[in-house]
Amino acid sequence: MSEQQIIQAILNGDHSKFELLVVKYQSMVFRTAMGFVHSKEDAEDLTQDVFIRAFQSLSSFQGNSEFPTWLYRITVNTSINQLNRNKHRAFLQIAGNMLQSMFNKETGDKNPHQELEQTEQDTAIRKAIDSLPEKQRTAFVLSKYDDLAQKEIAAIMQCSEGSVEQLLQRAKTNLQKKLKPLIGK
Amino acid sequence: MKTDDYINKLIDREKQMEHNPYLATRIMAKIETPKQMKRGVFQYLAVAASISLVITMGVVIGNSYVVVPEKYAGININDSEMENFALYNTDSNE
Repeated sequence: MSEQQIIQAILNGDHSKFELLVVKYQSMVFRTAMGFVHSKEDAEDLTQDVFIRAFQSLSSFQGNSEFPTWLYRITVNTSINQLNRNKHRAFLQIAGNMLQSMFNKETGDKNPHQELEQTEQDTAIRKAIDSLPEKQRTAFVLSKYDDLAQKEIAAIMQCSEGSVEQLLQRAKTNLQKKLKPLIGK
Repeated sequence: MKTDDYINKLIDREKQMEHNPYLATRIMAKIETPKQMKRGVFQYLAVAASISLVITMGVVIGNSYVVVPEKYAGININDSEMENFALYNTDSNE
């Protein structure tokens, strides 16, 4: 069954067919959500919200763009809305992420001091990514987490490829500016 | 190590995180559950009114119970007038 046929079947009332789309795209949506929230549990909740929203607005999908492109847009919008709602929880989230990254670490040759240093570096990097302006952050996440080409990012963000290139360049410069004093050379 | 390397390493680690294998099931369950009716203000008012009514009825029933004072009847027992059963227990009186 093609995607268009699946969507038509869902719109005709066969809701069980939606699971085919969920299974196909859940990893993609989860990865994108991770780029925004940096937490497995929050990313799973976001993924659920994205698919529920997609299901509810499936009738508005006119096929002018590819289904994944449309789904990416919903993912980005839902993630940004969630982040704006949770701004007051930012401190708790950072603390939670620090604990999570400490417990999720692979036990390697690193001693506790090195592990703590890595946790602090990770926190600083996440904070720097989170502090990027919205469009730069979106372009950065879609490029780095989803490995999308600039053309695909432009289709999702509904802007030109040149704009995407500029956004990515500015995001890279901003991150280097913020992180160079803290980590790396 | 360059700053970019640190960033890329963190991103690689986050990309490798896998979601719950039952995520699709969870999503479909949420979609297929019919929306519960939103509880309106009137529903809360109705519950509060019912509780108030029950409490009021309990108080009213409790107050309606009146203790009826019993008529006091004094009993004057004169032991000397009581029949002496001991008389019937001796053999000579049979």
